[in-house]
Amino acid sequence: MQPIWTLSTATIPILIAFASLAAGFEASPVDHLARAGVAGYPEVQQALDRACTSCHSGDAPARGLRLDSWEHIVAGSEDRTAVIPFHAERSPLLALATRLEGGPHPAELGEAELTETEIESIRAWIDDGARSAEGEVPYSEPGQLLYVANQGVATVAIIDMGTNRVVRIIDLQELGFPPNCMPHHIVVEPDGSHWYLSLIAADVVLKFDRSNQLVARLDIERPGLLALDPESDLLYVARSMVAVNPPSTIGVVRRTDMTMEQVDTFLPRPHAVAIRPGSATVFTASLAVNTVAAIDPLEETVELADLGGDRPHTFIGLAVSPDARWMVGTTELTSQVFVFDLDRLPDMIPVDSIPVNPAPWHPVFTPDGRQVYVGNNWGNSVTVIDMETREVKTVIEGRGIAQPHGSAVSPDGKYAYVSSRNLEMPDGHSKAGHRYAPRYDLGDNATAGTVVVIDTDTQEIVKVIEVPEYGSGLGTAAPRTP
Amino acid sequence: MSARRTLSGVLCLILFAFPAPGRVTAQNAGGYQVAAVENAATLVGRVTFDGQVPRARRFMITKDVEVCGLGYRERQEVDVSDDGGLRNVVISIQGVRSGKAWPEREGRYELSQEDCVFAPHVQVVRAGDELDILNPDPVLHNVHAFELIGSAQRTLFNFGQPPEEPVITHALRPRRGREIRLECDAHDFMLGWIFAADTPYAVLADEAGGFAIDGVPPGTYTVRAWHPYLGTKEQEVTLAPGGSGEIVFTYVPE
Repeated sequence: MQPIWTLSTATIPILIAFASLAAGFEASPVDHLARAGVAGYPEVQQALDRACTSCHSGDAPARGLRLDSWEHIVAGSEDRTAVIPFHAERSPLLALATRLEGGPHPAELGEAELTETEIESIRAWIDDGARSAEGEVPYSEPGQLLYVANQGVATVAIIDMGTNRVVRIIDLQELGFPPNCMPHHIVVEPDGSHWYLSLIAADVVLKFDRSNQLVARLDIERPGLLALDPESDLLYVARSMVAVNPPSTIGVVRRTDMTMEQVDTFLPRPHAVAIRPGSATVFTASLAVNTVAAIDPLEETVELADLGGDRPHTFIGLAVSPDARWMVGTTELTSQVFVFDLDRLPDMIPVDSIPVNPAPWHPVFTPDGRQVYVGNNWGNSVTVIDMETREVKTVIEGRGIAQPHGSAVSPDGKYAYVSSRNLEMPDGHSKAGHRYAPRYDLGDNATAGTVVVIDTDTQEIVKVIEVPEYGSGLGTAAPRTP
Repeated sequence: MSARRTLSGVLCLILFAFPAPGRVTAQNAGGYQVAAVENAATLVGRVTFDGQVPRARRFMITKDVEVCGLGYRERQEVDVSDDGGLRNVVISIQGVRSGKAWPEREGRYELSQEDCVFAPHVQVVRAGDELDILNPDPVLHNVHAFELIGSAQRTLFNFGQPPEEPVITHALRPRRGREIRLECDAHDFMLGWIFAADTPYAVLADEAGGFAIDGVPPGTYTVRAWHPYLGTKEQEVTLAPGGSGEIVFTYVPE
């Protein structure tokens, strides 16, 4: 199939819009809160020693959690983090002591409960950073970070990929955004110095530094998926699927000063977006028509390829292999993974289409380019594609995979990460089932999003990390797209 | 509550006219034949729900929020009237091989997807007839119909419907199942149901859970109630010549 037309500099200029700078935006500190008069660690340890350490200490502590020292508290249990610094309400230590259905722990077991004063001390201590007696904040020097947008509750969970634990939760409401601002996708600078977040319903893209301070914001209508060019200063912003008729442009953002120009894609609803490393080419695809666009912002050209077909594919995600040779595109309605050979550009002819479980969502290549992981949003599964044979290598199902959405890989390629929405679905719905029940029932029909950690050698789920509701886009400085 | 008191109102809601006497006039694909019904009987009844009504379920809108709505959509899957009548139940008399004519319809069968909602949520459609599927929304919908066969299901039809195609007509021809679940592959929170009737002896209970089926050949029948979320119940009933029978189906919380 040939591109249906080619646009060039001589015919249609594609840079059409103006700069928009987040001038004067006041950043709110998140990770360096200093609150006067809060409880210190010694006070908290005293409370834990009175009510908790009879079970949570020694060589075989209850649920694998020791609470008899700051280091042990910070280490958490085998399953999960005990404290999330600066976020007491999301910290299991406090949540279990106050909100557990069937009675707060440990009173539910007939043991003496923590007093209100003790609980407030713990709450204040965590909200102040869960510091040690010397003032050290836990997880201040984590390794590679994985950022998880929680679209249902206006938060971002940050996971240390070294320990696979949630080490921070950024509450966007504390930064002045509404509860339904819908954080969707995240990309990270290669050196981890900054990360960028799209808020669909707030019509902004935010820029945070490594210490999670908001340093800039950019207004753009209905931002969705993001793509960061590691070899230039450019960030690309496509449009969310919540928008019915968004602009046909994508945002081209200069990351250093967060100024933006908009490039017309000549496509309705440009949603997927990916960069080809080592080139200036950015790709996008439409939710509404079966067309893929290759855009060269420097040459100011757009190549459009009509993929044909008798029904809409609804392209969701694009990902380019680390060697820049291959691109895969996933389709919601036809459940295909299309494979494009980028060495054939400007021809955008899929060299393969691989049928997969329903509604493949965000794809990601492993760093060696040999595998692609993609969650099947309607199939409650994760498809692993062998890119050498271009066949489905395996399909992963299991606890924690419930409407999978985002994907990422660890820098060493040993683990793939797939987030899940885990939303309620109608009974009998093809998507129902496999719903993940949080480890602890905290009442109010509390639910949880998930991030499953998959061993890329064995394709087994090695951990289910609970995150706030509706895990959506994932971002990491590790090699990944989108 | 008194089922009989409610039924007195239901009797005014006879849904199908008596057929004119005569010989066999038609046969549909399911083998049903239209024929004169001597001494036709009437079945009346009610469907009730006894117990705590489950809370409405909340489904997050994940796409096209400018049309479908932002936030959560609530669906009362067990919809009960003030006096305990259960809505959205299809009542069908089993095993009627021949009988009254299909009722005259005003207009065609329609399924709307306006504002990303299948409407009506539950309806009875004559098997084999055409259904006009409407998309008045400025977004792509994708109707995916599943024929339910016991615990199994198979795709009956599945197509995208962009705004440029506001009406798509499709005949309902399930092979073995009568119950059809509708999903939109583009909007995971949309859900609807159709009962594909192979005889005219199938009706949707009214807003009070009442129903009436007339023109029934006298005899002993199994009567089936189907609620999309609460399942199926059956009862035997004997209808005397020219007489009437009455049954009450009572669902309880699962």
